Amino acid sequence: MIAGKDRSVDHYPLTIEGAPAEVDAGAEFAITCRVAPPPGSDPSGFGVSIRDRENAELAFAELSRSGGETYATDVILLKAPLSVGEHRFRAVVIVQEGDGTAYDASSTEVAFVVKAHAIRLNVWDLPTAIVAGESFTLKAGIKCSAGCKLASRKLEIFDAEGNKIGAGKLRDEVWPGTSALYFAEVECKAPFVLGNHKWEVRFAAPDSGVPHAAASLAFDVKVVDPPECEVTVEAVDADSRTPIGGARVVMHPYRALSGANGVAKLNVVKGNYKLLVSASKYLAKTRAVEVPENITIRAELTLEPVIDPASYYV
Amino acid sequence: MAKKSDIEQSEASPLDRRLQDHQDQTGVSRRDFFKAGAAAGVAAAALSLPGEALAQTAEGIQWDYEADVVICGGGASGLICAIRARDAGLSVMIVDQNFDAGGKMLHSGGQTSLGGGDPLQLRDIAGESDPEGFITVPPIHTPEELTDDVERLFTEWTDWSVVDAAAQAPYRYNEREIQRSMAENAPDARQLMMDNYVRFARIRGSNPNSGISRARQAGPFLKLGSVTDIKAGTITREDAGTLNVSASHFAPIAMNDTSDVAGPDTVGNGACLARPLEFSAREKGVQFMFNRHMDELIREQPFSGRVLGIRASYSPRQDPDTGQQLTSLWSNGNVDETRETITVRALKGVMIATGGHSGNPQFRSMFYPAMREPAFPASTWAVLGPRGQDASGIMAGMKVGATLAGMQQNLAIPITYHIPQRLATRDAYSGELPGHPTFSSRKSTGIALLGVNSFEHLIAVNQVGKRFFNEINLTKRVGLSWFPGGPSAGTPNSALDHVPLDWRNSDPDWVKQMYARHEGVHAALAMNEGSAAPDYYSGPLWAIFDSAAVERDGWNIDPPFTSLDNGYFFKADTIEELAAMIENGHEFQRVPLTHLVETVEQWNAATSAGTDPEFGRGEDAPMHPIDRPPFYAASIMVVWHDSYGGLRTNGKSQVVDLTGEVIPGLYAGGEATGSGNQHGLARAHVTGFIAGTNLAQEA
Repeated sequence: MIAGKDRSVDHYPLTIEGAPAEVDAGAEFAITCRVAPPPGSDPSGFGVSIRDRENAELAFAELSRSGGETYATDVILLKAPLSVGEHRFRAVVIVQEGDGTAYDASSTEVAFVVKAHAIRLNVWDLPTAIVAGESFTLKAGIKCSAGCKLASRKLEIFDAEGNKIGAGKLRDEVWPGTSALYFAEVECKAPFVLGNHKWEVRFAAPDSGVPHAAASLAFDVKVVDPPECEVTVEAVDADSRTPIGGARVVMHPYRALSGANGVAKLNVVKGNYKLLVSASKYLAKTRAVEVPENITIRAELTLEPVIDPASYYV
Repeated sequence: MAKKSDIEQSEASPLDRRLQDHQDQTGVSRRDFFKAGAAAGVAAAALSLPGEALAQTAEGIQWDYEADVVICGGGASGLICAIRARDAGLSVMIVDQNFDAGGKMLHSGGQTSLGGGDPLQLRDIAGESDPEGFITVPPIHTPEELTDDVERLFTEWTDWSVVDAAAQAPYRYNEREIQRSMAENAPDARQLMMDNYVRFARIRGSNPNSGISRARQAGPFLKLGSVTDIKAGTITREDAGTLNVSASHFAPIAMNDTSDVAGPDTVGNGACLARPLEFSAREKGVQFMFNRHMDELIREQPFSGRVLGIRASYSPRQDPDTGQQLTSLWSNGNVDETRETITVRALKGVMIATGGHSGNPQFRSMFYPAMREPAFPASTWAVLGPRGQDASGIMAGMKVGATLAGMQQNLAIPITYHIPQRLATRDAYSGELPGHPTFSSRKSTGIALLGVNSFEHLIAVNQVGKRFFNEINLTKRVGLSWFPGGPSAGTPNSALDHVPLDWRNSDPDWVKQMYARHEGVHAALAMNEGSAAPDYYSGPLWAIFDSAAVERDGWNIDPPFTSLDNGYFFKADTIEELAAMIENGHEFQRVPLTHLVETVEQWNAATSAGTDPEFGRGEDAPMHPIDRPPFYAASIMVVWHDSYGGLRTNGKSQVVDLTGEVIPGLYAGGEATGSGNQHGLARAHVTGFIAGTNLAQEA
């Protein structure tokens, strides 16, 4: 309610609790107000009006006694403006006179900074060994600090020289298991430059709508020569001789998972590698491997001994 | 009555001198004086001298209850003592801080390693079954491995020469008189349990620090049936619980299938030991006062005279969600007492069987200051509650003059405190399932990882979000000293070939050969950026992983294994959000995980490079990036499980003071005592058995 008379000199000390220093554009935030009226007074029609710069009322909340001589409001929900920068609201104590007219008593400022929504980028399902000149896909994800829906926006991938090597459009649905992580399957073409590189995924700040900050994330890639040989690894249980599915087979930078038949195939450049094979419940194994041509390796894994849990639990 | 001037001149204590005067005047001896209670006049005189410690007599105190034997703690030691004393015709009251009986035993695996030619060893040597014929599997050990005697047992339990694989000596520091008494009483203690409805399966192996050369351990079991009948030895599936599904009020931990050590349709764990013993104790007329925490022993004089009884306070527990008070499974023999503080007189003696100190960070920091960290609990924390294993029994004894023993043994066994391979729950030692009244105190069973091998899929960070150790090695522990021994247990020879008391067992060349230590838990407890004076808490530990890890290793991260409401498991869209959730949601997270985002980025870069210069991952097992949302944080706990070191006792389980004198009327057993380095239940059982025997012999 807007009062007719201005009695702002009346002494109703007002404090604001919970006001954030920074808030995302357009996001909701909550405050409560606490007032200590002059001793002996028993104000009625007692409340706090939150007003913007133009004196338009954004919210009104009643004040009720909250222990001792102070009055407090319930939680007041406010929405931050969309424009980035410093903003001020004003919290005004409203008191009702005996005849029912309300007037503005003391007031205080609620100052905060509105920020563009921060963006966090993520890259996953990136091949560990990317063949020079070949096409591949990766997944890039984006999360807005306020959880905004970012579907249909674009993500782009750039190499270390700034050449664009891929782009993707964010899908409508969020990545499974997340609350607001939007993702794109990005098709890329690897440059003909071998070695370890740092590429970047970039999100351009949109021109209109809710302000979002631009963002970029550097990530490591390894570009390799085309493979020359196939290495077949058979993961088996050393005791029962049964194949082990889902075994992790790594010959850095190449890696693969074994199928249900225990077999994993890696297409690698000739050379010397350290082979690492692991599987759930088994002790991992490692050995040096030389690859001059197609080879097959049998990896026999032993179950990790479990101290009998029944005897251990005492 | 002595004049004040006389007192100032003399050197004997004022009370002693008054007693001497009294004796001189009346001919009543000091002993008779206390027994006859003819002290009214002298007691009144005592009150008249200011600043003096008050003498107390049994008659001068307002007792709320009385019994021949008052046992503080109804667990592994207390229940055995209760039955033994009751069998001798004494009246027995058990006072327990918790809402139910069983103590830590109820929550345990029930494995009891005794020996010395005990009835089970004899049964298995003869290839016999149990009276009901539930046991159908043949003996697991050969007659030679089971042939044992008291001399051999005593020798093994005090063997100077044996060291374990970390070159710690499990036996040489054991008090000889106590171990002799324990060895002599082990067979009868086993018989007592069998006579009180406990059914033991085939002997298999032994317990840590229980000896190398013979198999001495068996676990309890019950037969699945349509009713739970302790006398018949049957239990319903509902009461037994179902692994990975549910537990019950009868048993907080779902029972294991014991068909490989007993017979078909048999199950077992510590509840199959605790509940039958409790059942028998109740049947024999032992009284139980639950929700009653012993705070103080009442002794005639502060540091001399007899222990007369206890003072204990009301310690009820409520379900944290419903507010309802927790109650015991059975109630026959329960004494319902809700007054704030009461006294209980012990006509023959008090037995302290209150468990150890693993739940008292201040007490345990005497052994290892880093474990002052309250973020890390005792095992059985949910079942026993905040007042369990709080060292209160030990401290009550100390306050009337008892001293301590075995203190140096606490750090010499790798299970005392360790990092369990269970994430996302506070009491990570166990996988308690919904069904027991205390599940709502923890709210999650925990994610049980598959072994050391599972740690390939996560990184472990400290309270500021930094890695601190090779994750795959983090939970590795040195091998334990137990049958059959061998290099992993520290001895050059195994089982029947082990030679006790032989210098070659600890020959330096042998030690160098078999020596193996792992220090992951100490790295986890190290000070870091977030540690501040004066406590320098190391803070909580977090396993950080992604959805790819969960899929790769097949983890079940759904409720009841995790809870999004208990502050021990978090899920987020980004690592930044995860860090904020931990900071806001975990009760012991005192500082922000400032470095978490950077740590994950560094880890992913290391994975990309194929090498981990910081902690050496990637040498023995593949490394995986943590990059596929959603991201998870699950607590990694350090759990203090065993308590060694406690009240000093003798071969009769009597408590001993600093001068080596017995404190009349005071007994103690189990983890409240420094009675030896043997891990597990048997030490509690036998010291309780011995206490019961001697209480019956009190005049």
